[in-house]
Amino acid sequence: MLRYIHLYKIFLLQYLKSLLQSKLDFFMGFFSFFLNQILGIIFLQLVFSQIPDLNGWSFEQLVFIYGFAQIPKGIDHFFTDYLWVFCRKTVREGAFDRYLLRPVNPLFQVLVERCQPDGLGEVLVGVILVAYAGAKLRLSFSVFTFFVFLIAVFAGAVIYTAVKLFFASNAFFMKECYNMLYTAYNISDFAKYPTEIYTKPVRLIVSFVLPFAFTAFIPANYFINGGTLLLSVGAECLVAAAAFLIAYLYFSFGIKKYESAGN
Amino acid sequence: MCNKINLRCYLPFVVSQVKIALAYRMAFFVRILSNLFTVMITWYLWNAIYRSFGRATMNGFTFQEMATYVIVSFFVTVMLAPAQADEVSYAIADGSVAVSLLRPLDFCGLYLAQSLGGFLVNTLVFSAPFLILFGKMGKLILPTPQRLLLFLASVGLGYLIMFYFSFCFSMLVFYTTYFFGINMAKAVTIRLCSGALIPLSFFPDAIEKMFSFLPFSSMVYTPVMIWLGKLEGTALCTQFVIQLFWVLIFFVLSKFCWRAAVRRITVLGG
Repeated sequence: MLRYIHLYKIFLLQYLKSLLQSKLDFFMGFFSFFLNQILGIIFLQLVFSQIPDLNGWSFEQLVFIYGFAQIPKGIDHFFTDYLWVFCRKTVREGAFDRYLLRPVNPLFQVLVERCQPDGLGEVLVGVILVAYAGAKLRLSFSVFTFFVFLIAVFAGAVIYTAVKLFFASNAFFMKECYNMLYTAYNISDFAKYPTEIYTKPVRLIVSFVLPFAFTAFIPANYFINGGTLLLSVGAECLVAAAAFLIAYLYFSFGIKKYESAGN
Repeated sequence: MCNKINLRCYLPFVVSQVKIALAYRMAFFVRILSNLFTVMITWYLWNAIYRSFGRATMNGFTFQEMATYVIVSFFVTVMLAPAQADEVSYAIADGSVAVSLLRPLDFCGLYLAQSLGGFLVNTLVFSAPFLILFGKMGKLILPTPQRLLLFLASVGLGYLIMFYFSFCFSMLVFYTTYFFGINMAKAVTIRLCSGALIPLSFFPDAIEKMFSFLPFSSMVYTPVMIWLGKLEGTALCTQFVIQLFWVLIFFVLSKFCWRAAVRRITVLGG
């Protein structure tokens, strides 16, 4: 295990070095991404000039949930961005073999292959929004809640990775897997808002089929309104573990099929 | 004999884009489907908003009208998408624009023709069927035939504004290595100021006034308001004149930009 952490540090450092070669590129991409995230908040602000609350939710509460949703998404985006490339090119072009030849777990390699700084933009936006809304809502902040927050956010990132990994593994079984991955990933947008505004079928899909609701609304709700730690963040960790297990099994199954095809 | 004023020479470029778009229709369709999620979410939000609001009309919109606005504005952005002239910036970035100087066809006209192919497909294949379907399902208000024609005319003008504006904007590729970042900022600004995000009447009066001086409101807000029947009579005529004005401005600007670009390419020995 320690070996993998050590290896990962090397990967990360190398990538960061190559990135900072053009600082202007880095900041421009960062800044534009930042702007893009703010659009949803502008929408909410304009709407709240007309209504006092949305289904019982205040503006600050919605901003909290919206910001909270961005953090796991950004973390996953930063670390596992290569999964997109994997889905589109790697298996099809036969480049996957080099991962199998190395004495390191191929899943680990696929997950760490690329770092995407855009993800940091999402995390930063999320943190700013959560901090702002949290202050306005006068949420109590202790060492304990901070740790729970970290766990919730990383468990959320695991869910994102699991969903991406699952759909990217389709690359082993079919030629065109990018479209499905793209669609599945974008369903995460539903998680930015309280799930009660959706109709039942949508709520079910977002909660249990592609469990993005567990990355955002459910844990965020715990921080805003209280409730049982077990049923919210605890359930989230369970869902994250289960989702990742399913994705990992599917990925391994894909490798087995790939190897058996005589590659 | 093909010379610059023979419009028929541009037709193959329109057709080729149509063919390409239809060949890659699955990818296009998926991309549109994913953007449809945003429409769904916005629809649900407005549903909850109106329920919390209590009253029937908010800022001059009933819920049915707002639902119509959300759906129609989405499809207008789909129809306008090819006008963003991405190929122009790519051609400049990778230098293939130099080759175009050897060709007997007008560079700008060529890309306009190509983008029109995309426009036809986006409108007839990806937008019209859905708009009709949602209309029949009662999800949105369908316009009268008269309003529909005015709507299409307005979309056409909005398309030309977007195209010539994007063409001029693409010239920035000459001056920066990270065009992608600026391009994204442009896309976000347009989304905000064109009415794609929310009807412009929801903005504070001062900001709404400022937006009316920008060309972007002509791209989405104006056509959709025509569809809804909220823009009629003298106000409608005024908006058409404004749209024509912007088309003219950016058309002329594009000529200057292109001439400056040609000079730059030839001086650099491209």
